Amino acid sequence: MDLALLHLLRLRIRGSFRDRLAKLTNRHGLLYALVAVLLPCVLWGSGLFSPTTSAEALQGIAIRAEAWMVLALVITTLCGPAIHSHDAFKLSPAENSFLRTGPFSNQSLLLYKVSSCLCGAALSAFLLALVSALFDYRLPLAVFFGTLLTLVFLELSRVCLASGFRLLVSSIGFRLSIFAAITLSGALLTLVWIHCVQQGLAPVENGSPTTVVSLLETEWIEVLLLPFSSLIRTTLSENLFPDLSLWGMLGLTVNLSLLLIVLRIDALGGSILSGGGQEQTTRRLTNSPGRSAPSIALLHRLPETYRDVVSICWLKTVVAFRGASTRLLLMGLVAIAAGPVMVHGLSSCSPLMRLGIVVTLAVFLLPRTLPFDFRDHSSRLQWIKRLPMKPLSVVAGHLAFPVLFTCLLEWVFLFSMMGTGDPDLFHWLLWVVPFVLPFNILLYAVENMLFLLAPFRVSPAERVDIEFFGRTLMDVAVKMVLLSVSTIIAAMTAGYLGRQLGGGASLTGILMWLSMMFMAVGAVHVLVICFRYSEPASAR
Amino acid sequence: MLRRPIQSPQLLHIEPMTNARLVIDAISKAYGSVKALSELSFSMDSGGILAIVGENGAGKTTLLQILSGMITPTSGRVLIDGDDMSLSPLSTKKTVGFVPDRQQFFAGLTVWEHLSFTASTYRVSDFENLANGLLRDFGLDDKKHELTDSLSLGMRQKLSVICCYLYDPALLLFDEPFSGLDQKGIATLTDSIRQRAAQGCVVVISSHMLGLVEKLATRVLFMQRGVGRIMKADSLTIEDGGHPVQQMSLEQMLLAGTDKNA
Repeated sequence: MDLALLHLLRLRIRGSFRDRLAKLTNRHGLLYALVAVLLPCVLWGSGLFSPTTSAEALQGIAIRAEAWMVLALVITTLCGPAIHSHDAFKLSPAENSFLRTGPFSNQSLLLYKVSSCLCGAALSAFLLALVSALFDYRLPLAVFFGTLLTLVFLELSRVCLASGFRLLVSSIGFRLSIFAAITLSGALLTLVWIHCVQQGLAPVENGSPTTVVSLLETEWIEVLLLPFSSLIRTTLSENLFPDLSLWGMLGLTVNLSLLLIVLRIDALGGSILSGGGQEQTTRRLTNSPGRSAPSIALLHRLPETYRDVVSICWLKTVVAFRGASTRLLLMGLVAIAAGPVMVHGLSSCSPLMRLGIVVTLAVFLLPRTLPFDFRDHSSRLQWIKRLPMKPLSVVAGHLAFPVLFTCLLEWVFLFSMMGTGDPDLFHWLLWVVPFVLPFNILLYAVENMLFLLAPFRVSPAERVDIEFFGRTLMDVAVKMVLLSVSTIIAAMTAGYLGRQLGGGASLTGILMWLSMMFMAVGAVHVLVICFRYSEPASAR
Repeated sequence: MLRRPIQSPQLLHIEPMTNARLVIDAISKAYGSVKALSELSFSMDSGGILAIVGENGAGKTTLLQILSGMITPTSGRVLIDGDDMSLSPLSTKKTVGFVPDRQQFFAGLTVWEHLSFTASTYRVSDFENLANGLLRDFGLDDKKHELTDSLSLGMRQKLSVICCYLYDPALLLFDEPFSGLDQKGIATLTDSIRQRAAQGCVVVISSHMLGLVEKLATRVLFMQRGVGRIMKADSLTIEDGGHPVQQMSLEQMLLAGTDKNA
C-alpha cells in the first residue's frame, strides 16, 4: 500500500479517537457512553447471565449455538450482495475527491479500503471481547480474533460475490441485472429450503425429529461449510492452543484467499471500487423512462387530510421500492420460508427460544431493515416541517409504509406457519393475526419517537464506536420497556373490562385488541408532539 | 437580447499540437447509448487559461473528470507534457490539481492534517513553509488546527485550492471555483490563478460566473450536448452571412447559442 495512504489511515484513526472524545463533551454523547459502560455492568452485577445450568447442559447449548451461528453466517454471506445498496468497496465523498484524483493505483486503494475495514472491525471486536470478558464468557482473545475475522470475511465475501458475478455476467456478454440474478438465486434457495424442511427433515420413525441443526452436522455439509465454521469456531475457542491457533489460522487463510480473489477480480476489470461521480453521471444519463413512478393524479380526488397522508406514504413507498426492491423481495421470500422452518426445523428448540427468535426478528431486526420513515429523512427534516400539512398527516404518512409492509410480512409468516397442519397451532395463530397491526403501529411509533428525540444518523464508519453501542443498548432497553408496559396495560385493561362485562375469551380478545389499538393511536399522537417540537438542526 | 437569426460563432478549430502542455485528442465519453462527450480535440500551451462554458448537462464536468483522471474516456487521448494519461495514469495524475465543485473533506481531520496528507501523497518536501505561506495568502492561517467540519463553504473552497497549490501541478482544473467565496476571496483566487498561469501552468475553469471567467480566460470552450468548440477569448464574434458583425460578451454568446438550439 502507498505510504501516503498509510499516513491517511493513521490520521483518520487519530481523528476518529479525537472525535469520540470530543463527543463526550456533549449531552447525547455523554449519555450514550454512560449507558454503554453502565448497562453491561448493571447486568453483570445483577447476576442475570451467571450460569445456573449444569456443564453438560451448557455444552449442549454451545453445540447448538455453534450450528446456528454457522447457519446465520452462511445466510448473511449469501444475502450480503442483495441487502447492500452497493456491490463494491464504496469510496466516501472525501475519499473520492482526494484519492480518485491522486496518484494511487487501484490495488493501493483496495488495500487501503480493506485496511480501513480491518480498523473498524477491530474496534467492534474489541468492544465485544470486553463484554465477553465482563460476563466471563469463553476466551476474550478468541472473541476478539473471531469477530475480527468474521467481520472482515463478511465484507470481502460480499464484494467478492457481487463483483465476481458482475464480471462474469459482463464477460459472457449477458445483460442481466445482478440483483435480479441474486433474487432468482434467493428464490431457488428458498424453494430448496422449503423442500428440505417438508420432505427431508420430516420427523423420522424413531420419534426424534431431524432438524436443521442435525442436517448441518452431516459430514459433507460440514466440509462444505468449513470456511464459515472456522470463523465461528475461532470465536468460540476455549483454549489458546490448539483451538484458537488452528481455527484462527484457518480463518485467516480464508480471508487472505478472499483478498487475493478480490485483487484478481479488480485486475480483470471487475470495478471493485465505487462511489465516484461516474455512477451518478451514468444514472443521470442512462435513466430509463420505464422506471417512472405511478401517477398520483387520483390523489386530488381524496379529501385533504387523506391526500396528505397518501402522498407522503406514496413518496416513502417509491423510495423504498426504487432503492431497496431486492431487499424487500428477499424479505418476502424469507417470510414465506420461515413458517415451516419455525415449526419443523426448530422443533428441537424450546417454545421460549422460538418465541425469542420471533421477538428478536419482529422487534429489532425488521424495524432496522425497514427504515423508510423519519429515519431515512434525517437530512430533510427541515423540508418536511415546511410542508403545508398537518403534523398528524405527516406522521401517519411516514408510518404507513413500514407498518403495512411489516404487517404483510408477518401475516405471510403466520399463514405459512398455519399451513403446516398443526390444529392447535392454527387456533393459537388465528388469535395472533389481528394483533399484528396495533403492535406494529406501536413499534414504529416508538422507534421514530426515539429517533426524533435524538436524531442519530449512523454511517458505516460510526457503527463501531462506543456512542453507537450505547445508543443501540439504550434504544433496545427503552423499546423493550415501552412495548412490554403497553402490552401489559392493554392485557390488564382488557382482562378487567372482560370480567366486568362478564364476557368470554372472545370478548376479552376484542377488548385487548381495542386496548392495543388505543395504545398505538396514543403513541402516534405522542410522536406528533415529538415531530412538532423536533429541531431539524439537531439531526446529525 | 438579439432576436434576429444568428449563425454559428466564428470558431477557431485548433488542431492538437504535440508540443503543447495539454493535448486533448479526439476524446469521447459514452454512458451506455448516451454520448456525454463527442470527438473533442484541442490543446493548450503553457500559461493558457481555458474557460469551459455551456448549459447544465453539456458535458463540462465529464470533461473535467476525464482530465483529472477520475474517469477514463471511451476513446481518444489526453496528453499532459507529452505523457499519455491512459498509458501512465499515476505519473500524469501527479501533475494535475483538481478543485471540484464542493470539495468533501475527511471528517475528524484538521486543516493541517489535510495538507500533511496531500504533501505525503505528492511527495512535497518541506511542505510546512509552503503550506503556512498559502494559508496566510488565503486568510486561513488561524484555522490551521481546526477541524474541516467547522469551516464555512468559502473556507472549504479555499482549502481545496490550497491543497492543489501545495504540489504545484502543471495542469489546474477548477469546477465552479468561485461558489461560496466572498469578494476578497474571489479577488485572491483570480490573482492566484493569473499568477499560476504566468508561471507556466495550464488552467482549466468551468464556471457559470461568466463575467469573471471572461476576464481570466485566454480561450473559451463552448460545450453543448457533448460537442465542444474552442475559440479565443478576445474574438467572441458572431457571423451574419459569413461576415463577423458583432463583438459579444460570453453571456450573450452563450444565450445566443442556447436560443438557437432550443
